[in-house]
Amino acid sequence: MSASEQVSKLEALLERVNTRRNAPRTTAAAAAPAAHDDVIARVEATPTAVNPIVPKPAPSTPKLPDAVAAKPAAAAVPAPAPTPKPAPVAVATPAPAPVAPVAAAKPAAPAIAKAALTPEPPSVDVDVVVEEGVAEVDLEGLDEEGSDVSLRDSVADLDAVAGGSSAAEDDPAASSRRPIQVQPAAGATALADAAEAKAPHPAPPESGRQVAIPAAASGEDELLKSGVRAAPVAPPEAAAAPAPLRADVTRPALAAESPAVFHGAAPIAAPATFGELLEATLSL
Amino acid sequence: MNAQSKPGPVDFDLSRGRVERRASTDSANAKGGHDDQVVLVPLSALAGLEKIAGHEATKQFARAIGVPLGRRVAARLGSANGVAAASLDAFVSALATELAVSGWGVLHLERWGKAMVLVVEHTPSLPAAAFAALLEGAVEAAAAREVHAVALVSGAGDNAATSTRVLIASEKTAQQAQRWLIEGMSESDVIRKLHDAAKSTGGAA
Repeated sequence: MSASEQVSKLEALLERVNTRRNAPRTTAAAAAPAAHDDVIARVEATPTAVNPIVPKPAPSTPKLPDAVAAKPAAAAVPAPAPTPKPAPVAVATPAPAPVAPVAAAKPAAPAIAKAALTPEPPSVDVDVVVEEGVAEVDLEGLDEEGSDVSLRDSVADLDAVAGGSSAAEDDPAASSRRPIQVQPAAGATALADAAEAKAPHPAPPESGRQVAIPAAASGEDELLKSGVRAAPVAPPEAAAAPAPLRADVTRPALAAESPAVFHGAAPIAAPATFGELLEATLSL
Repeated sequence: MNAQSKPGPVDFDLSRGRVERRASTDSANAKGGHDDQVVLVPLSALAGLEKIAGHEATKQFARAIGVPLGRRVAARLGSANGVAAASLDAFVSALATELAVSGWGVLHLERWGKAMVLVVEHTPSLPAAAFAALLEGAVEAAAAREVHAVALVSGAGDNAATSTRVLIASEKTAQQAQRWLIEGMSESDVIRKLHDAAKSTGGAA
């Protein structure tokens, strides 16, 4: 049964009730019409039993959009519309989205708390029509005077809870998309210019630890001071591997025959007698 | 003395209880004097003599032992002139014989330039200075010249040495060499300095 058919049935029912009320009453059944009128009056005076849309704490998996579309629809179908078909407010709810990632679910927590702390809005008449993922909600009394919190805000909060589809959550900050570097690169050199431009963030410091400036590689100090990286200077090859020092010995080629000629013999003092030696030793 | 016995370097007369040293085996010269009579004394008694009598008395005692040895050498070589005219081998042989018969070791002679050094091996336990005095007395008595002997031992000396080297020199030279040796100078250095001092003073070569 479509909504239009339901509305038409309700209108027909209302018209028949009005017709019976305007019809002449018989005496015999005087008590009965009186009771009937009383019933009609109570029906008119009774507000439509529609549960107000009150944000409830969402479960861990945001399926609130489905709940929003189902509960009011069950309660709104039997409710007669006192006014002829007000302009429906169409609220497009997307198809049930998959479970949002953990990073996207975190921003929903404040929204839940805010919705839970908001005062209960005044009673409103809501007609909800669900057609394959699209819910049409007729909000009567929206933004009525005296309501502290508008229903549109509540709906927006519910969308935030159930969402995960907002542009702000889908598109995180650029800095957050950069991977976090776990360990600082040990072999970072001055030649890693291009790689350093896209270098990941350093790991956040541990709580309570004094973070010092990382040890700069060769040329990093100059880079930090002047912003200009000095070109690497290659060490000279001679200093890198000094050749061992060896002596080059040149020996003379001596002649086979002796260059000197000896004649005679050196005089040897040899006393012939004991007396000569005794005189010599006593002369010392 | 038994008339049938032939006198030798040492004669033991058991009937009279005498021991005699003789310079020559010639029967004409074998008359025997009081200098020839000797006694056998244990070496241990001489070893403690320096402690009992002192250094100088020990030297005099040793010198007195050497003088009869020199006289017998001179008697063997004829006289003091014969000693001076004798060859080195003859003199060394005569003196070495006297020392060996008495039990004082084996003698030989070294000549270091002008210096004469007497070397005695297998010496008994006697202070070097005392042994030097023994040789001093022997040479002086043989050559009839005043000589002085200095034991070439550095420092305080070595009493346990079995070889003794003795320099024969004049009194002045012996005193100078003794001072250098006490200062710790070696034997060769002492002899070299003595030669250097002789050249500077114009000594005969």
